[in-house]
Amino acid sequence: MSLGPLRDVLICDFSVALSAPIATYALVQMGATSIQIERNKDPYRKQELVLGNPVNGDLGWAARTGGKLSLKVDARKPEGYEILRRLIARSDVVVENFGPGAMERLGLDEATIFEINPRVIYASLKGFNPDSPWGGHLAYDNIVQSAAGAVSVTGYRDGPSDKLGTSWCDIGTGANLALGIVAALFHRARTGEGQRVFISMFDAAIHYMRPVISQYVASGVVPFRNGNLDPNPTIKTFRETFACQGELGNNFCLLEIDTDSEWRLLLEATQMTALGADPRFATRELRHQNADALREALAPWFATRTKMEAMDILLNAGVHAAVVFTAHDFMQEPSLWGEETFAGMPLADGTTLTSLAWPVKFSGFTPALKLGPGWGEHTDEILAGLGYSVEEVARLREADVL
Amino acid sequence: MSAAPALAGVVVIELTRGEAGAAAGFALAQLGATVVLVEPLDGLPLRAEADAQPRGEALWSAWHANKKSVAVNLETEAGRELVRALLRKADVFLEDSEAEVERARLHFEEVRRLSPSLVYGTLRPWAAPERFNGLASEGMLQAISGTLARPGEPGERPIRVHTRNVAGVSGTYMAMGLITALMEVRLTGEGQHVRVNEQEIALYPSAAKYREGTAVEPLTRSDATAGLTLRTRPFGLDDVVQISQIPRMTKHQVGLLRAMGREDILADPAYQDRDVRREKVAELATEWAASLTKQEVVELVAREGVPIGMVNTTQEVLETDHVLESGIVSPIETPTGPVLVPALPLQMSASRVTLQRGPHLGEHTHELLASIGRADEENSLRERGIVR
Repeated sequence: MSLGPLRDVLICDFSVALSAPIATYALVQMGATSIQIERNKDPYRKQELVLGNPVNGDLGWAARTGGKLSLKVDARKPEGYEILRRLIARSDVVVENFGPGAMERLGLDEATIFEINPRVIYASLKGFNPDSPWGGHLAYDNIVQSAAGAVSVTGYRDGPSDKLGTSWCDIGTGANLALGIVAALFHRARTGEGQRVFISMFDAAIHYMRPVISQYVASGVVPFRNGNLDPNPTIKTFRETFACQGELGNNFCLLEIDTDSEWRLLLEATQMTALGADPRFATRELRHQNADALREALAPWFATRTKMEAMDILLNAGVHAAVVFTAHDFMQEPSLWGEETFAGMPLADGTTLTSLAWPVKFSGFTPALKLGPGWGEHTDEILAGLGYSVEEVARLREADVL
Repeated sequence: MSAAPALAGVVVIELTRGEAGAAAGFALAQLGATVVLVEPLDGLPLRAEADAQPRGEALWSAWHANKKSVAVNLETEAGRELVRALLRKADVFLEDSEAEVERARLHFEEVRRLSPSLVYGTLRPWAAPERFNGLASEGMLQAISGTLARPGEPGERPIRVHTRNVAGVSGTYMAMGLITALMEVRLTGEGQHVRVNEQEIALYPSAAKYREGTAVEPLTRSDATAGLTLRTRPFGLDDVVQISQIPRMTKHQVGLLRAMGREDILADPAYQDRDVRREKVAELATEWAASLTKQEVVELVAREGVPIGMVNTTQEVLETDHVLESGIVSPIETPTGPVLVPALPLQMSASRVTLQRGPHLGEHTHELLASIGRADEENSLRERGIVR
């Protein structure tokens, strides 16, 4: 079992940007072969070039294209279209996340794809459901976060709403798309039947809103943004980020206090036992109700130490606390890594780049981290595999099809 | 189209206590697997939390819809033996708690002896748990991994992302890994151990922004929003629209100007430079949006091919007709009437599962005892406090 369980799976991969490439990257890590179709350079390649980074040495690029093959082909030309038809005929999965109507304009609508290959799994990712009033709208992560309600519960009370810290909507949608594809592959392995798999970023965002939605439906109490306290006021945990010593803006430590016993542990750890007699903080409900006063009372303790010192004192006392890190901070702090958190990615010049390992670990195999492909790097070998001769490939390249 | 959903016939034994584990089991159940939740005799803590609320079914079912429940006392050898018997007939074991696995004596090696083809899934919060003294929470995971929201200026307090997306997405990755491992069982008959740490899932999006050898500035508001935010009538805090990536691209600037009826700007010699024009477009759009509702702004701008969306509150989302029609939130029947529960966001042409309420405590104990040929001992097992 040294190869991944998806070792026999071939993906015709039209994915671009962040969301769907994350899905096919996941499948590649679990053994699949992905042929990334790139008529134009993937926009992220362009971005890396603009930033002056070597295209392949960038972790972001590798974390969505690593191990994929790249085929440069112009599908708008009849001979390019024929290449894609041959590829789809041999593929197990077709994945795309173009804007509304783009696959149809390529002549690769759903009916055509299933006509070419009835056993294929045809997976699409869009911003919104095509038959909803927003179906024709373009979408990016922040738009979907806004529409699905995540933005409205993020921010300080009575202040403006905010986008979430990362593109979690892209990640969550991509993860679910990969889940749908492996479920469809499992189904096909048993029944021989291909199928259509569809996901919208909007639906995925609503799915991940379930803690907020379910508390709201269960309690009937309308959620609202409330800083670090829960947007559902039925949840009474006291939670706040406190400024510590250190560089402004990167000097925060998170504290969470729920039960009375945690409250007592906090008071002992911070030697602020006098606060224990303050009636405003006597119960969980009161600490939640008087959160502003509690924040003020605790702030001086944090202000006199670094975030790492604060976290360690609190953790040792059994209190939930964590430093607020950027990814860069995390990379500088090996004590927080696991043995398998990072892995080496070999570079062309013989050196190794330390990179985040694929986060799903299998006892039966370990995926090797690889770079993203160069643009069109594998065009010749893919065409040879599809039955094109060296002369034909040369002619197609001459005709600007490749 | 076949009648059976994708994972029909797959049996999952779920011994989970946290949200990530529950989310993984939820996904497998929504794809058609039979997911058996092994609960303590007094039920999972979420039950009590749900029972304290007027429509608690919504809370319980958001994590446990379509599952079965068996209540077993894992402190007793007789109880542990029942779970082992269930595992011998199962395809997947899913766990997210070292303490529960210890109590049940069901570590990977022990389960592997019961059934070599069984797929074993382990979820944990941290890659280096001892560093955190055994403590973990969604907020801690987000803080460490760089995923907290960063509103306002750099000096303002960062905020937890309340969707608890680390747990949710970790559950999705675990479900994906388990199904993939089932593909291996089909190929070779061999089960394996699949492990996911939530910390590493949380790091994935933020690490993508990291470049070796370069210092990364702390996220500030401009990084985090990267869009043009416009306030609209009637100027409530959530009467806001977002245009992606402050219209940098000429085609988006043109679209926005067309929506406002201000194409004249394009011909104006003062605004031929794209970046200068961007400022003007933003200024005009701010004024224009303030004369309309968010629905009107989105409709007029989106039709010009400009990426735009409105900020909706949770209430607004649940009151939107097409959200209800799409089934992404689905009503489940309860004694007090239907309640809405978020579904799995996948649409699959050959695999459909209707959302059903989460199980009552021990609702399927009888059925599951019967499945392992122990139905005749049921009364005795109940009296001895081994099942409920």
